[in-house]
Amino acid sequence: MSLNGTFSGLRVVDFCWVGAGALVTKLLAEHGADVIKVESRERPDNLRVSPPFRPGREGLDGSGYFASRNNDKRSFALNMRNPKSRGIALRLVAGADVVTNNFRPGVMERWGLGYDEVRELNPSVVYLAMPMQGSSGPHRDYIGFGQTIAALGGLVELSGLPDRAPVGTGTQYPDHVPSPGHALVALLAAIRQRRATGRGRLIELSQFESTVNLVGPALLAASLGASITRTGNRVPGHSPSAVFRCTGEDNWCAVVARDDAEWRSLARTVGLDALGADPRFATLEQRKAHEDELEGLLAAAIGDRERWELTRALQAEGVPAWPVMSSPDLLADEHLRARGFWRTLNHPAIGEMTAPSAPFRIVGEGPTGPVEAAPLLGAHTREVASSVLGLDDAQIDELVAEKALW
Amino acid sequence: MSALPPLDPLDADAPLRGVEVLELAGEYSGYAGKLLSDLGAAVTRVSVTSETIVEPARPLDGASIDPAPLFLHRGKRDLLLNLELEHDRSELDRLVGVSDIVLQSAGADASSGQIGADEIRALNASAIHVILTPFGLDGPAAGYVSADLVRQAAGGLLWLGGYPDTEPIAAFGDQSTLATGIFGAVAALIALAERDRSGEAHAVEVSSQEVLTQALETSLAEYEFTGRVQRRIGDVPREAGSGVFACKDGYVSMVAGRLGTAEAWKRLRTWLVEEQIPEAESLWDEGWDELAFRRNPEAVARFTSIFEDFASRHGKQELYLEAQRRSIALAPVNSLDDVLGDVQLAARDSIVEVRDPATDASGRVPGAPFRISPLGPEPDAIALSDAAETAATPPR
Repeated sequence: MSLNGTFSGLRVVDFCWVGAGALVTKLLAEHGADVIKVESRERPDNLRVSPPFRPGREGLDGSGYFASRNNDKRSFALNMRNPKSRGIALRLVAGADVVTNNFRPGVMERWGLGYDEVRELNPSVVYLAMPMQGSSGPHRDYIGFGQTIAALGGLVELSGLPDRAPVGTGTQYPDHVPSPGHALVALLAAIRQRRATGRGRLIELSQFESTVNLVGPALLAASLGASITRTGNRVPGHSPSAVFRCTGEDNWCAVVARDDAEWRSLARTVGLDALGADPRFATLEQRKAHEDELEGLLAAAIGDRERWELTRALQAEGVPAWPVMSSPDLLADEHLRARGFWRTLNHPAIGEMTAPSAPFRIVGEGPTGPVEAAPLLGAHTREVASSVLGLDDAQIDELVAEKALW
Repeated sequence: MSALPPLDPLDADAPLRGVEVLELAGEYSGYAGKLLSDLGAAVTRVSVTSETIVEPARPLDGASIDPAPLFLHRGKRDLLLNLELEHDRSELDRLVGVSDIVLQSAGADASSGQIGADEIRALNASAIHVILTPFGLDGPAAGYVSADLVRQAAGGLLWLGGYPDTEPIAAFGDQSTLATGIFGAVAALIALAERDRSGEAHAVEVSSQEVLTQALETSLAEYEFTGRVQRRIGDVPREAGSGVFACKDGYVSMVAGRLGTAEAWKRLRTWLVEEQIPEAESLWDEGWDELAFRRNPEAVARFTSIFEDFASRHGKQELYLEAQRRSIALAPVNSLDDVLGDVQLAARDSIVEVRDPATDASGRVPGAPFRISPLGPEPDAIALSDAAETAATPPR
């Protein structure tokens, strides 16, 4: 039993580049779809030139950023600036079950590959477009990245300490989880409907609208007049909700009490038994009223604790706690390793690299995850041109020489 | 391509029309159920009265309204069952029996005693059972309890957030809960596709910790390739041209010079020179075209000083419009009020009005995060167009 082959036989012609779109088709590829990534040397995917690179492995095939988002896909090098390439691209999409892109509106249309044109050719196609702000409206042509989309959507302003500048989420978060995730939900639903009815459709994922959904409850409150500002790690309903320094350099532990009983257990576990009975902290309301003082007392009590020892002690008492995990912590984490979450891929240009599995699995089984490392640029051009497009060697040689298959 | 209207879950052609979903109320299942409901699934949300239901923490200080029903549960059928009553227990069993998908929050955080995996399997062997958990169902920490802050710590997102001189600071708004809900819906639909293909219906688990490891960008590869550990850098830009910068009425976020935006970095410097900002000319000196140079803390500080000198004279909306006109990826750091007033969202009807029946108060929430076109033509109506025939000819 496995989900590795769920989309076996599904062909995806993938014009996505950079972050959010590539993660959509990555998940389809890991579950058996034949994802043909259309890219070119003429204008490479931005991620192919983005760090990190293993020292000495720099170049279009060496980016760890690109490799982390494109495993299990085939790379078809097609230079859309060559006049012959449009015809080749049309033939490719004519035989596709799914066509994907995350360009700004108008790019695919300029190539004659917009939804209306592709549907003419391939009426049952499921077509995913992920423009930053949607394909209509006064800002339809605006450009951005995850970081700027998070700012636009309210996430940056609300993340940080109240008396400091906003800090946001630390990464281009909308690109990595919500935008690909939301797009996948709609795409998977449309693929299923196509299987049942033979009818395709266009899906549009505005990355701005996707991100605004992440502040949905807060937006509702604001529309009702509430003033919602950044509060660091504090949240309504929990107290404490904080991160405390532990022994060692830059070592921290996140600790939360969701109710009064958890608070009393927390106080007892860190040797502050008397505080558990202190009326200043007895209820959520009282703890909220004295939160600075509460956190100060806990910080003093926790500062000489080792973070994992503290975590285990608190969890044994039913108190939510976990060390704040850095990259080396995560790669070494005994829980993730016991679950078989990390896989090792052997990339032809990079060498061995660790890749995460999908974040879900059949109960009792190992996770579905990457099998083949990301392709070298154009690694499957000849194979796709021959087996998918039916071109012979002479035709392929000519198109390569003319830098159409490039 | 004509503009797509907001999604209508009641559309007879909605992609998940006919799919029955049972959402057992819990911490993560609400957003998963919402997304499936947005796409036309019939979602019945069952709360059980004989136990405590753990719902997400609510960022609602000062609000008079519970956001869950209006944001998460719009369009769902809501049931309150007491499983100690035989009638109610039978109703839950019946609902399991007719469901294609059962969404359940589990792990040590979940309210216990709802209904077990074996019972669901016995009642309906063809149901997809999606179990949403903080840390998965096995492994040494499977029994650990959590809250959003703890999950962000466990998944690594918290490590990257905040200021270098303080503790790490979490992303706002219960992100781990929403993200787990998103991938709960993804897992449900992949399992449904597998059932369509093979006839096998699986129980599938989702780990919130594993969901969040997807958000770590390049930090894992950077450590593995170079030994460098990425850390929180706070409100200091990571490099000249990219980061959050102060302006006259707040902040703007900008990406110019990285991720293939070398042209935008040139356009940005041209803009500063045109505005006659002191020392802007020096940004054209040797070295500034190199990313490694722009990542030097001295270069970051120098650029920030020059840019913020300029930005301090302009509001964030003004900078947004002009930067975009110049094809520079700059956006305002919006407050929630700014989001509610955004002209793009307004033009696309992206924010919808909702009314609370209990208080009659009306508020606004985001519409569905995706849009879909009407269905394509029936397969029988498909005929090869001239374009298709042309495209079928190998290019020469």
